[in-house]
Amino acid sequence: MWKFILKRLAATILVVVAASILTFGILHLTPGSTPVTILKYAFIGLEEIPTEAEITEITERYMLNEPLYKQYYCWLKQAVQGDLGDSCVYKLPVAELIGLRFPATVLLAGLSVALSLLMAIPLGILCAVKRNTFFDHLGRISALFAVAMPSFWLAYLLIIIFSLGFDFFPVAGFRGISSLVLPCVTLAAGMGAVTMRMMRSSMLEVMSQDYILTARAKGLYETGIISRHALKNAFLPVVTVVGLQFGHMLGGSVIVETVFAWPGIGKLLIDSIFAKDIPMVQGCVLLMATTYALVNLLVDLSYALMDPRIRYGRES
Amino acid sequence: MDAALVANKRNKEVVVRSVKRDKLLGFSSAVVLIIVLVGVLAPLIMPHDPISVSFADKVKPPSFQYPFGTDPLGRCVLSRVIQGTRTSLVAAAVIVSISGVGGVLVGLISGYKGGKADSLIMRSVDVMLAFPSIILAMALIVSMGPGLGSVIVALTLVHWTGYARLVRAEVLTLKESEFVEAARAMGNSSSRIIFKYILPNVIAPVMVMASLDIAHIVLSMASLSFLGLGAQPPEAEWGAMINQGREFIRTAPHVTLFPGLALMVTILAFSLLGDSLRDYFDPRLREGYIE
Repeated sequence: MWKFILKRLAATILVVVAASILTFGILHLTPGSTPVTILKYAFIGLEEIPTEAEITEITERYMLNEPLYKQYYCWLKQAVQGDLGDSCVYKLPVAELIGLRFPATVLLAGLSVALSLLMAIPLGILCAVKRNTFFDHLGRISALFAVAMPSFWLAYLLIIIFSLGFDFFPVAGFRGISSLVLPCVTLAAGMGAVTMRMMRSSMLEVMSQDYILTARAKGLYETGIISRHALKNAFLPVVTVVGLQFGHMLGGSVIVETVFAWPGIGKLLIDSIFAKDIPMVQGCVLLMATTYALVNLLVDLSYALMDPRIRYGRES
Repeated sequence: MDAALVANKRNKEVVVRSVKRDKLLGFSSAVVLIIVLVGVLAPLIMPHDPISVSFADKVKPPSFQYPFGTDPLGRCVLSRVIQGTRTSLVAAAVIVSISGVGGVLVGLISGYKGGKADSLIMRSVDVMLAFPSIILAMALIVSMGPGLGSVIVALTLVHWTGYARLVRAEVLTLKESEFVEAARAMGNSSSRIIFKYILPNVIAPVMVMASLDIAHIVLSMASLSFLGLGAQPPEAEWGAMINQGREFIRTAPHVTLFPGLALMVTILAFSLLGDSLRDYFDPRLREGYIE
């Protein structure tokens, strides 16, 4: 067990370090990180011609004439201490701005995951139990559509129907509980559909096992068989899918936050991209990659807790 | 139930399932064919110029002249949806073929040769897969500047990993199989074994993955264009069209409705095709196992 945890921990650290190199490398090879572009976009305006003194100042402040590995080392050293540099646009520390926006994204993502699980797990189990009935077909067809529907389009359909048609929920912004409904439903729909399909097929797989046949032969009630014997094993693959879905959720939050003008980190990322605010983009991407890596670590650990085969170190 | 009855029921289910599967395969390939035809014939079947602006006809509802209405710049939405089909398909084809061929090559070599190179390649694949793909694509696009070209490069760089991992796993089992042993014993060179004996056996799963991948790529591309990172005006692209219509959803929902519908049908068709191809190629299903 401990060996497994340590191994996964090491792998996560490796991923985060690689993510930091990628983030740093990609963004520092951009045309957006020359002193002139930074000046024009963030300090003096696009039409102005920067002076020598201004260029020297920016070059020194962002260490642009140092070799790349040295820049990376300094950046990493500060990043580990929680200092991600200053935003070019807001002139405030990146970490502070992200700290302001991150809770909104966590709230949105957390509620969406909860909502999607609340819909997907019972539906998936029901579809598997009532396999090949009308209910099953309906469930599978809806899941198919929910997966194929682009989230930004679904968002507009929901806005057209529920905000403009019935005036139930606000179109955008952050105005209490009611503004959470549409973004959460949008994010949860696609994710829930994938989870539901996984739950269904995993449940079917388990239900065809011999030990379920044994349980039936003992004369147990069907509900008992499902809840006691089948569910435990059927959940395992679903947990992995939920972890992977979280990554899509982070990507999806960028879109959903843009549509609903939600003040989260996804919206911040997009705004920073267009403002060519490179330190901010770096901070956001690094945070998203780290969050994703940590969630997957948690998923693997919970997997180990749930599955005795892994817990007792028989993983290959 | 006695054994014969069980077997009978099983066989019946297999037949029902295979008929269903063939129907689904036929249906989804027909829809995919239609979409491809629309893309290929786009210039011939567009009723209007998708780019020419006419302020007199701005945001008109659907009519005989403009079956899907017009957008805020007076352009025919139907023509733009048709042109968008072409944009999406061409870009998806480029991305899938480059990342597919590259990924398959990497997977073949990595799996067959094994050793240090293999573990190094697979470590980097793991790291790339550990990144949320759309976020990685965004970071790459930022470094290249927004545009359809950047989206194509970014998505190609992100998508090859899936093929590499899939093919490597297949190769690891194939290379222990008897016909490969035999080929090796006959003194074939490694490259001949890889391309003549192993490659044909990985084509089927790669085709399945490619079909599912097209659906995924079309969606990613539209999402990036929707965010303003992909196709730039006046290019006709579904995601960008939905973005342009967003301020008019109150008065002119048709501007966002139709491109979204086209997007959904395309994604649905390619993912159904991928699913039914998988069922078709999966020998377990043909030999009588169910689900």
